[in-house]
Amino acid sequence: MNQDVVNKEVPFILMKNIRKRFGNVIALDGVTLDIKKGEVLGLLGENGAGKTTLMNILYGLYRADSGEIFIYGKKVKITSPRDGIKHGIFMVHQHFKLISNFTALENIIIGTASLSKALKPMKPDYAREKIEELMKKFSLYVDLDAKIRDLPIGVQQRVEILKALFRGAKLLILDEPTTNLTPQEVDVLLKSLREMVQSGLSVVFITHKIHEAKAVADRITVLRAGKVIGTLPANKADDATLVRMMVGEKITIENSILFKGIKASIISAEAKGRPLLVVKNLYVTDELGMEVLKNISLEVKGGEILGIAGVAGNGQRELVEAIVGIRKPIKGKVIIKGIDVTNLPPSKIFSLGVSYVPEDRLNDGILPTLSVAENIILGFHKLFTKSNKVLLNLREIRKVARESIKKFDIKAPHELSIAGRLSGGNIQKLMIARALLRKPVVLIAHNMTRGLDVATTEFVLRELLRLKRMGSAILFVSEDLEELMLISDRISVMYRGEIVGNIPRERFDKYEIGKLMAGIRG
Amino acid sequence: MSRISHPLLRKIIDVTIPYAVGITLAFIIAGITMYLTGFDVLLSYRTIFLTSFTTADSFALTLLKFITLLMLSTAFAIPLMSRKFNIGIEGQFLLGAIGATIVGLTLHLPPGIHVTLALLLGILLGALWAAIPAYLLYKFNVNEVISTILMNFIAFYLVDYVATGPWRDVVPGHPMTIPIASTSYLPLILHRPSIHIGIIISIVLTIAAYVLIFLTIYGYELRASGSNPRAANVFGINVKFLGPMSLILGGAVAGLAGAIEVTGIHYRLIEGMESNYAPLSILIALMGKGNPLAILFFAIFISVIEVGTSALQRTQGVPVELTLIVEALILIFVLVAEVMRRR
Repeated sequence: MNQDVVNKEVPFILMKNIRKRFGNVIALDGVTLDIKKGEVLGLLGENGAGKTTLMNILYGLYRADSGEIFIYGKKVKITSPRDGIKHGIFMVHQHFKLISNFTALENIIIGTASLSKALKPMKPDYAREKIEELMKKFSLYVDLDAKIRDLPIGVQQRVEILKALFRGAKLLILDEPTTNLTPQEVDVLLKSLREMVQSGLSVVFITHKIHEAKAVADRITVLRAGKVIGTLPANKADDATLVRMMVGEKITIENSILFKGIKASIISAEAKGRPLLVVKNLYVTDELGMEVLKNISLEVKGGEILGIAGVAGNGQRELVEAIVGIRKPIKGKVIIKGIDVTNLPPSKIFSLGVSYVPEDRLNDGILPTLSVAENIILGFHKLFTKSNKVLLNLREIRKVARESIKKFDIKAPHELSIAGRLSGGNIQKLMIARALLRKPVVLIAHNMTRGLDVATTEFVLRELLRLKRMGSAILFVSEDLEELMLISDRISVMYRGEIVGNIPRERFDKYEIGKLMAGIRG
Repeated sequence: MSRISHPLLRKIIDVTIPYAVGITLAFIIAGITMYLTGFDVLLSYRTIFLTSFTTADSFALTLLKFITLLMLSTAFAIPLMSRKFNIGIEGQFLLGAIGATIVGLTLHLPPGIHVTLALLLGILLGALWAAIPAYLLYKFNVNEVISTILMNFIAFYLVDYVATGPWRDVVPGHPMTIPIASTSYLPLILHRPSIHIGIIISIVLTIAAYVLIFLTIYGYELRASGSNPRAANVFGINVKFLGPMSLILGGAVAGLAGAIEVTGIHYRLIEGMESNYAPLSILIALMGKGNPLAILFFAIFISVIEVGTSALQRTQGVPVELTLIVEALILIFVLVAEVMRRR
């Protein structure tokens, strides 16, 4: 059967009635979805809606509990990525699967040689010509001889895409592909995707950002809580409809700061406080003695939100860890509330009223075998003793935990349930509940809203604005530029361990910030 | 109470079911083994389970084993909370025994004071024996499993040295010291069969350990550092200090167990008195996941099995090797059931 003469009505791929549960959670509840040849399908939905799970099933990484998959009307069984690849289905995950000390070329061709060739020393050049052709055709330029570890994230992503194209991909699934790209890189990616579909490929573009879906997709399918809410042609979909489809009735869009922005009067309430967090000429080295922070200076006043922008891995983590005392700087000072805390242990720094939301919630944030209640008080636990300062005040701990669970809508069966059994988004809510347990004087938050659904993100951003009004100093580190531009008074951009630009709110421009994120100095 | 019923119930079910399954399976296999080697299976089961409760003497024997097992399990459980494995309970136990023997043999004091001092030196030496690996852990990050095992070896030969030195009792063939002064004997709470006050000490100690671990701020920090050392450290808990400290605390408890063994049962230091207490106690502590109340329960169970299987030999002529195999089977099945549950 020649695929080009297939009846136009039969879709390239049809997923029918897909169901999937993880333990007690129903991730997909009878999802039916079709993908046409030569289109970009935007798969839109908030965190936890089931987008990635659905595509992992199509790719063969997960198995559906029930449901069928058809390719050009023919039923297929996809039980492993090997099956998916056999049908030309490729997926680029949020975390790339590349070998960092191999070159781009080696990464693209790895595993494609026949068995007889596989035993001989690798001669990657046989593929060079074909790959260069693909690069030209789809504007996916990569230095093929550079090692992956030396390439920026945006270029690594191109390597992943080339890897799929080189193997004859017919469907390319991209999971939140704009995470960690600069706005310029996003534009380039979207252009390449359009070129790909024009030459007959299909693309599924997973995203939680409405404007991205509208910018790149031909059709948009909206998923909410494991169900398809509907599919619209991208040029006929208006923002309000899409928002409503995405989040349901949970929030009022008219008052939403996420969708309507923040009233200028709130944000421009001039930060009048004294500087509560001051970092002066800070230098930090990593385990190997390499400088990971170079001459960092910043200042956050009471009532001010300072955003830190940058592609992940440019020193943001080291910066927050140095501020809360987990990393010892080799030079420079950290001053909180006028007190030099540079070499103090974290416990002393927290006792000054500093709250911290770590980026790596599983390693740095949670006590997996302890209860939700015991996790919420971590860091403040010394405040929860009876008058003798030794015995824990269990009644008070459980009361506070119940309040936090309610306030932050943490989905835990009970405040004494084991915290390690919560889902990622709920663990993130727990981290935030902990940080906001007491009104922080200084809040250090790293990727605070990652993994949260829209309603909770909205709630968290409102909490931040409330803290701002109450005079807290907030250092808001995020990889999400739009969120940063929404809430920050100022943005400092980090690149390779340095602050390469400070931009006040009135001069916020995503392309300007994007340039700085890519290391191009004005 | 209704509020905590859900997680608590879940916890109890989580712990009970694998053990019930494991124990049943173990007894089926053990029964087949005994049947194939020509012994009366039902009678053997009765012996294993009921010996402890048939005569006053065997009940007393069960209690004495229980005291030692309970204390050593607690000595293992406290550091376990900060995810430190105190394999050194054996050596710490022996050092405690040496301490009590030294006081019992050298000092002349009124009864109450003498025995108290004997126990105190036992606690001190046990703690000191654990302090060496603890210091190495704190200062140089030396893995406590290795260092405590090595400290055990030193302890064995230290016992040998004391038991074959000037204090040696030359009458029995086995290396042991002469008896300690009767003023340093642990008071009995029951005569004939004789049960010493150690039963009260051990139970009080276990409850105290429970309070320490689950109801105090120190216990909270200890459990936090065991659950996720990095996160605990990020949020201001001194993880580096807590682990070594809990080892020393465990050493003190193990030392007390050794001192009680000398002043309550043997009235002298005997080479080999550590028996198989340490491995059994580690097992009990692991089965109870370090929770002293669960440990209390499992210690009773293991003591009964211990006494019951050793009685098999006397009542039915089952070879001692076979009784040990039966016991090991039970324990292995319980542990396998535990692993299966986690899948």
